[in-house]
Amino acid sequence: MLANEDWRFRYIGLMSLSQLGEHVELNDMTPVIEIASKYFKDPHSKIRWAAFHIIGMVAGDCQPEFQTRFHQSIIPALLQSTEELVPRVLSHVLSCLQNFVEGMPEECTPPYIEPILNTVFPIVQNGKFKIVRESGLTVISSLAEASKTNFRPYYEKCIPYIYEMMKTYNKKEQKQIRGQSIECITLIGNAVGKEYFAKFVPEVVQTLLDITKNDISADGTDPQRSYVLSGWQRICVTLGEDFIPYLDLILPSLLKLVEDVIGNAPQEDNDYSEYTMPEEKKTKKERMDDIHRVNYNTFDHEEAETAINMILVFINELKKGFIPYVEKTTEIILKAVTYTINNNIRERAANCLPLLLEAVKESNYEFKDQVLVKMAHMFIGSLWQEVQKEFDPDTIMAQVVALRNCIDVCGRFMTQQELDDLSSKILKLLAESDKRKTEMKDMRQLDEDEEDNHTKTLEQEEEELHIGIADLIGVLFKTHKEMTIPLVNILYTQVLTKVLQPNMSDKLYKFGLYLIDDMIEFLGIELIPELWKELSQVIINFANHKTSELRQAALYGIGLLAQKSPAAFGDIADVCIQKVVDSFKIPKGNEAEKLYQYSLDNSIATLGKIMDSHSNKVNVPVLAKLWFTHLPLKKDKPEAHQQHEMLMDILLKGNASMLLGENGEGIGHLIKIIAQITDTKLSNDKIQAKMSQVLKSLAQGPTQALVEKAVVGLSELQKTRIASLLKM
Amino acid sequence: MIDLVEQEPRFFKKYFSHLFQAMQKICGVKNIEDEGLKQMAIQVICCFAEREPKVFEDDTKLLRDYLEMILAYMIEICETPDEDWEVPEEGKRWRYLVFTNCVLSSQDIWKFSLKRQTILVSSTAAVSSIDSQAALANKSC
Repeated sequence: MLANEDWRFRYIGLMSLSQLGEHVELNDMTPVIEIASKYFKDPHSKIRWAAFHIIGMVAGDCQPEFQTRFHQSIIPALLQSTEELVPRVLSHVLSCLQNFVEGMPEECTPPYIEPILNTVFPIVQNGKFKIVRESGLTVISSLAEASKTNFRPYYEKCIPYIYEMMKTYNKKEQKQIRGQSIECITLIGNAVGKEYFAKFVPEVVQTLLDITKNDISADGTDPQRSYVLSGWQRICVTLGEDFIPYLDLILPSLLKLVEDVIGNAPQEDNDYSEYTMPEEKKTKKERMDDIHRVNYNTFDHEEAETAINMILVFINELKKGFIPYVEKTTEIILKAVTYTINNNIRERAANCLPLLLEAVKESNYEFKDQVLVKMAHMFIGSLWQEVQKEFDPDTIMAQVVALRNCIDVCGRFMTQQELDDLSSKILKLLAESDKRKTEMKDMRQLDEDEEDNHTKTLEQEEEELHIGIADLIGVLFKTHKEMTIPLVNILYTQVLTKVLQPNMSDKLYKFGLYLIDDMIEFLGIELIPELWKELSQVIINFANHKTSELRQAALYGIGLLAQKSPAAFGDIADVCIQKVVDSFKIPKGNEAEKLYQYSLDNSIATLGKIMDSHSNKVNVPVLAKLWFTHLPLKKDKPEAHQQHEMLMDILLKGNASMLLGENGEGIGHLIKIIAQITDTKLSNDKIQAKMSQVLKSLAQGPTQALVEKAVVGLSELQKTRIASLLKM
Repeated sequence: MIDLVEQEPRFFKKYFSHLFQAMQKICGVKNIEDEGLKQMAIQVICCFAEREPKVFEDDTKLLRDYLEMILAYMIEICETPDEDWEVPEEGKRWRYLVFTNCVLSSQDIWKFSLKRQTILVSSTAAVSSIDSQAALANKSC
């Protein structure tokens, strides 16, 4: 098609290629990207448009791998293409650049901030066409968002002009671009941080207040509205507790909005019978299809949902600073939790409850302990009431997560009787979910249609809910320890034996493994000695499972066994170590990269935990070598912090030769590890300080040449990281 | 028809070849007054594919024919860029794309449930077929 003389064929060929990125791997898309680049200068405007469209789509579908691999060629090509004369195409070049920048990892951004600003900012300032200026502005927004603190040297240059747009663009046709200027300025603030943004805050906040009060039409069609709402959330996140003085100006109107919507609506006892068929007349399938309660979604509901989201952000960011508003907010949010006719509102409101508890917990309020327990009982009661009425697994899931988080915040607060009651309710919920799942499976078999995707999806939702319930039970183990033993016994005899049978789904196995991991982690061998052996065996059996998520849960469990039962682990150490070693050899297959990497991370971390807890019983030098070869961890943040710190501790305690070899053969790999994790989520201040210490000691004396040789092979960004650690 | 296929796809499973041929026929008509009709014909098949992807997994010729139908329709509705497209008036930013996007999204909706290899093989076959048809048409001109 692409060789066809008729432009329409070439155009449709390119447009079809643009759709592929979502369904295939980046490697399959590499030739497509090369093809697209050839058409950037095609004489036909629609062909150029389609070529940029491919890049924009792939940038969205294959991020961040596409950006990481192609930034050096794509960004210069797109910047050069801003010389485009057709406004429609130029706007698309900018949208494509925005998509690309949006998915860029932070560490790739520094070399491009200045060239992009030098090219795009003049277009925003002087562009003749609104469509082009709007697209340009979103490039700057995404650039600030992606580059984060790297944007600091440039923000002062950008903000005054963008603020001017925000302040003065008050004509009807300027609403869209004004909204985008709010987005841009608040994203820049978020990126550069409070200290840098502070000097612009009073003016920006005042203007945003003026727009909120005076310039937004009430009919719901004003494009500024959503920009203003998310703008407030970003300012709150940026300023943290410095936002508290502004809360009084914004929060009352939000609470009123929610109250008006949920207060004016018909509630539970209203008669909807004219809209729905009586339950008894429905067939099983109709009941299945009708799992959602009557659900109305109007503009008002969307407004209320957004307002609750904003309230959630405010509570989460301000914590104890939110205290003056906790009482009023609790009153309204609890009504929203039981709001019958819109499940999004019920879900969002449920999410707010644990945060309200956290606000109280962090406060200095004299009677906060009593208040906390009282609120927790009230919230749990209200959430359970809803869980029992709810049919939509997604909403039940949100409520179960809220319950879990409420208990996690409050810690040990229930009496044995209260805990037993809650345990029975949880088991009932589990049984009901199981029953719904079985009914759906039966229905599929009855209809002889194993491929009914709709019912399959519903079954999977129930299995997800099972995993949510496992988390809820886990938090009871964590907070109420020995009080949960009656629950453990029921789970072991009635639930685990059932879900861990052969031929069950991966999700049910995951549910079972999560429960076992939590039992091992929070109860320990002391509280469940008679179950320890059986639970250990299940964990070991799954440690080489072909499914990454199950392998990960089992490997994590082995690490826990090593840490939590030092004496008992001796008997199973050999078999556990062999399982961990074998887990490295399991191929990725069709598993998602992320899940596979999480599993690998847990294999590495488990080796580290075994070495750390059983140094006298295992062959540490052999394990250490294997462990070191596989470092660094790449996805699992908490495990990465633990293992990377352990690596530095081993080196600082004088055991360097065990890992680096007598002649420093391992120094090259160590430098790579350090260069890869510095200034990323895989490291933290404490680890960086230790890495700096290790580097400084290796960079002098006999190992100096080896360090210098290793640094030569690093990327420019990685070299900068090593240099900054050496200067620390 | 779209609603029926969406609600009761299994009913059409037995007669799918007839349904497909009927929709193919609609899309093959040269001059049709109602532009939206062909799009709806494509959508009927799309709805079916979404609910019963296995039918397409098992029959790559069917998949190729369907892709070909979509590509031919997309070519047919391509508009030559005019000033209205190149320099859009306020509020008309997305108008021109509506049609093309509809069709693209119908490719999109069902592709998710098909295997990667099936997508690549069938797309290649459909594109070659469209090209051969275009070459034949040029020759006869």
